Amino acid sequence: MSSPTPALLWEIWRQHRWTVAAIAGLTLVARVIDVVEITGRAADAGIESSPLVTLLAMVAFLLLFAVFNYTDSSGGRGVGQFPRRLFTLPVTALRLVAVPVIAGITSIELLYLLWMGPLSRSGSASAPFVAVLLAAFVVFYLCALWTLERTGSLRLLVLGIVAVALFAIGLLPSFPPAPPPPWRSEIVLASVVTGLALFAFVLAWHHVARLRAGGDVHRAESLLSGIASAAPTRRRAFANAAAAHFWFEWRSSGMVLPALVVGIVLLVIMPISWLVRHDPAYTSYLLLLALASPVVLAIPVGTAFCKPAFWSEDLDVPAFVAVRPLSSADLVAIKVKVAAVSAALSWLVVLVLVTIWLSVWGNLDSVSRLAIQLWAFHGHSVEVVYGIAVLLASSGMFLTWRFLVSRLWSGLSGMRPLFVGPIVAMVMLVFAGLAFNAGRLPGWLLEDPARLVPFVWMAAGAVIAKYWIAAYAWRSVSPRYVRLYLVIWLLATISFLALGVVLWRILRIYLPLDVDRSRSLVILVALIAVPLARMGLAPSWLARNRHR
Amino acid sequence: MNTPLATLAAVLSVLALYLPTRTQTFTRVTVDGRSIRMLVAGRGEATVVFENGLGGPLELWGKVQPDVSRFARTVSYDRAGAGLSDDGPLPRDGRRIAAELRAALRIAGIAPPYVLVGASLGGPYVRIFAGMFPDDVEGMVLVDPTPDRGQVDEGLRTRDVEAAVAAGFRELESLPDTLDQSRASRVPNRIPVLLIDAVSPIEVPFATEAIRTMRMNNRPEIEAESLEYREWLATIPGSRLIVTNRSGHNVAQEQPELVIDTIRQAVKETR
Repeated sequence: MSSPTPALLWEIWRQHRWTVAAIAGLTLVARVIDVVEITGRAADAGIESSPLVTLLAMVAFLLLFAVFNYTDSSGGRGVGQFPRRLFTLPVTALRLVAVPVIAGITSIELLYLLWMGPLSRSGSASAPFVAVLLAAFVVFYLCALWTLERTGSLRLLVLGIVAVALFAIGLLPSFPPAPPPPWRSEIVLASVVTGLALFAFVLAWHHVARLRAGGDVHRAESLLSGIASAAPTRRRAFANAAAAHFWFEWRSSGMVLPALVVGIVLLVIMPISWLVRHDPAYTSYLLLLALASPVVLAIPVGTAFCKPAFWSEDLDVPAFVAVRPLSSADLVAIKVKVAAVSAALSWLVVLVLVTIWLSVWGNLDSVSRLAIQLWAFHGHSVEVVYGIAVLLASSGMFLTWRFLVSRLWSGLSGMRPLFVGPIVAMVMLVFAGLAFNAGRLPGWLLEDPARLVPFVWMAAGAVIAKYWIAAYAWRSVSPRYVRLYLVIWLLATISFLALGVVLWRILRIYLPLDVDRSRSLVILVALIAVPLARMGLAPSWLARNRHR
Repeated sequence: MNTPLATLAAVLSVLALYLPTRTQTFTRVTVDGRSIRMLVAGRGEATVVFENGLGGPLELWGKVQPDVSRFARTVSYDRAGAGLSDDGPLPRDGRRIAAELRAALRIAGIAPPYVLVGASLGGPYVRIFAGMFPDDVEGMVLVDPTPDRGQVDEGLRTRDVEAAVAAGFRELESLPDTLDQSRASRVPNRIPVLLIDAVSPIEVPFATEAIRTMRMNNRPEIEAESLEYREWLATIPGSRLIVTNRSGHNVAQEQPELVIDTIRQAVKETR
């Protein structure tokens, strides 16, 4: 190589040439599918791309981010960080940072250009605006990977929030009124995002330069430690080891979900709700989004929560935890308790913020219409409407908690295949659902009530298997914990069952359902929803991981 | 094994094996080569036939039919083009729908006479049925029926119809003809006719200012319908008007007990 830049680019190509080939192949296949579909589509059919093409686009873009995951694994921690080996090259830190960033931006723009046809059909944002947002995300992505290296998995959460924020920014110009005010125009928003991306780039450059110079690599961390030290801390002694460990678990993992929920509701949903406050149609959507946020966020957070250490990618029990004078059942019980507090606090935050929004600037027409319909449908009883609202909140809270604890058994086991397997299966299931347009499933089921039969029997089989495995799994757990958990299980199951029946009573009037089979399915699903067998397995799996 | 959980597992296993065996049995009949779905239930001397409003499946009677089935034989069905029945031939006017219903009932082996219950647009349909086949009808219950006033609302003629037809509600295309047919239908002599007029409560909880205003703006139309019902019933000896302000247009969902009681009265009067 005659100069360092081609060498750096060649290295990226060399390491990821098969991924690049896969991206090219996916793009080609998708474009062919798209052309075939467009050609064969009726003249009056919609212009949106098929779910399969959208799925392939998602995969292609995700693969591109995998190509530009410009990090090396750091020693024993398994956490990616800026490649230290490049520090010996005879180039400036600016070039070390700029080459992958510019290559990433160029690549994503090129990929977007290839996909622009199918993707631009279903969006309202202009192509140049989307291109700016994508380029900015590449910068934020690399900046987060390099500057937050010590936070491990937290980077994924940060990147998730950045992605959601950029998505929301992409939607801002399309909110009413049209045309949008100047500050919400694409040009202004693109300028702001570009400015932030430039700032992120300078931050990343500065960080890498400091690393290379052997400077204080953890200045931000020191700053955070300083703030943490200044903040009020607990002075009192803990009543017992369980209380101390609860405090430790809460501080290290329990607070994450409420913090994320506050972030999403406060920074995304509430500002949007203010912008669209004159349009009642948005209130229902945003309310649904706000209420769904704890549940949806609990899914990725639960994946980290179920591990022995939230912020580590290592599945071994940390020595600090392993030597606690607590049984494995105690440790699991504390995690379950922390998850309950985390879910309750997340919902409290959502309900408080939503109440403020709705009572101060919310346009309540659509919500009011729904409440009146529920009131009329339930014998003109105001109490029933309030009851349904309470049921919705309690079921949401239990569902949030469920997603936090449901994988404790595999996360605490220390066995990576057991931990990763369900995640891979779930991702594949989602992709398969998109590929085969699973959205048509409800319509297909409604076409013939008999089609529900295998689903009802599958649910029945799952109930039988679940409860007998539970009876076996809980055999060696202390009766105190069995009683305690059964109370939680009972409350959560009753809540799901009651909400399911309420929804079923409404749907059965408007949809051609076999009322008996659909009711059976609702009951069986409610009996499956709360983890019981898996929770019984968690202490023994943790014990194996802890004592090996 | 954990004994309490094993006991729970045993109980729930029995429940899990029992639940899938619970099933609703629908009747399928073929009328002119098109499949029609019916739900036949109950036993009794009288046969009550439910006619839906626009586009709804037979499940709309889900809060009413089970209770009525305790004292009568009941039949609800998906009209052609609604629920899980096949589409029917055009035009979808009242006379065709009445003829299809009669054929479906005959094929299903459900012999007349019938007490016909029609909600909303089902009201004009059962009136047309009674006019076409007077010997097959022994009573009528009309649940907030679509009024057959001289002029169809301008909205129903243009924009709304186009949207509804685009959504698959082809019956609206023939609405003016259907209402003409309904107006021209004679009610068979000496059969009980009971009409539920749902005038909606004026004050409702949870209403915003915009919804209160909208409801107030709808009052003249509701009052005009009530007047029309009264005028029409005055021409039918032995007919009765039941006014409720505890329900809006969807009486079978909002006040099912009133519909059940009214059907019970109609059945009693036919015996």
